[in-house]
Amino acid sequence: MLCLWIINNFVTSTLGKALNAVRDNETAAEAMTVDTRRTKIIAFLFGAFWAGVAGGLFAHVLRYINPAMFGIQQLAEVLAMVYFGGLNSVYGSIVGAVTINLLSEMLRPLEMFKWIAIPLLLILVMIFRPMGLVAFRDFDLRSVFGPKGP
Amino acid sequence: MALLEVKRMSHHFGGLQPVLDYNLSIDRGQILGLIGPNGAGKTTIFNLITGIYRPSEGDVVLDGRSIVGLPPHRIAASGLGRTFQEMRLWRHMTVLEHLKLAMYSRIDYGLAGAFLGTSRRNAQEREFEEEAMGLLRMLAVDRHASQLVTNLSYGEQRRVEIARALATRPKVLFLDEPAAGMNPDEMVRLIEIVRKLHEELGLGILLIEHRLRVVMELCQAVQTLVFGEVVAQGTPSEIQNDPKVIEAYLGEQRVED
Repeated sequence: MLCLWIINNFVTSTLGKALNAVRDNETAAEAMTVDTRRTKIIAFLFGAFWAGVAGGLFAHVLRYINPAMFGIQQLAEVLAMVYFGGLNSVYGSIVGAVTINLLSEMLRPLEMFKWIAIPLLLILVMIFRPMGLVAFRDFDLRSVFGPKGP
Repeated sequence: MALLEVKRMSHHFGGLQPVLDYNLSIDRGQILGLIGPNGAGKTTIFNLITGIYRPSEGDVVLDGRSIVGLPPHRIAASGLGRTFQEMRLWRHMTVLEHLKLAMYSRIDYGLAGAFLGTSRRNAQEREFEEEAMGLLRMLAVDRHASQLVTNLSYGEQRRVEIARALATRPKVLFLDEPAAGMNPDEMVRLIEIVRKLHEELGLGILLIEHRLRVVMELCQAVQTLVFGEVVAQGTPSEIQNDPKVIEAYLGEQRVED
């Protein structure tokens, strides 16, 4: 919760918004007094810092870590969570992480087929909500389950 | 001494049009026009002065300080605001956020402030918001403050860009074809707005524009640029009748019989 509070504080501040501006149009950001080099360094450090925190907590939960646990599968799963929940949104990432984990547990009886069902769902999300469920704050249930929906 | 002075600036690079021996001087409250055929190097001059390219020769002095070689964000923070020919707005941000971001150089709460949501941060964000709303009212786009820029009409987006440039608190404002793609109504509105800004804020303005009507109504002096060189300079009516300008735009004058 503390982490979320800090992240949310940061991304709602103008200093945090600079990250978006540099991504969307760097030349414009530079012309509007944004120090783009500093902003990129902050983005990198910010990401690395939270990865470190997450790793530390993870090690405490399992009391055992080894490099093989963080293979390509883990990476893909984390990316799937972020895309599923929504890009550019703190709540999106939470929604994504919770849903993917829940689905993963609920679909356990399907065994092998779980790994068909989840990617399939991900593809559907990509088709109907290309930016993810809660991307860019324009969360609207109707656009998910409306006439266009799956 | 003029507010912004460019002395003997030259630039050569790649296959692009070089700029040769360019001189400019803008005072407070002066509106200067820069016209010329496509590819004459008008936008290149903007990019050279605002630091996106570094000139090979010459000096640029803003308010008594040389700004040649500084990174663009430092130049912008020292009082040179600009808009872009092909509007460069940030797609995923609201109008208000655009203006607040242009106040980046004035943020003094630091990273710790941003993380912890200190009262200093909140106070400053509120301060920025108020100032931004004032500018938006001036440009008549305040009712769209919380909209994403992509939801605005073309003319409104142009005005947001000008408001964003003003939020950097410029002393000199560079407008790169602000009327491009506007319909006649929007254009008249733009002329009124630029005139109002000029009267209320007393900025020096350098204006690139193809629509001659805008140039004639707003500018006190005009430079004509052809192939990177200034071929004519004077009041709008002088320029309009200058044979060199007519030649650049329409080809050589035919001998009357």
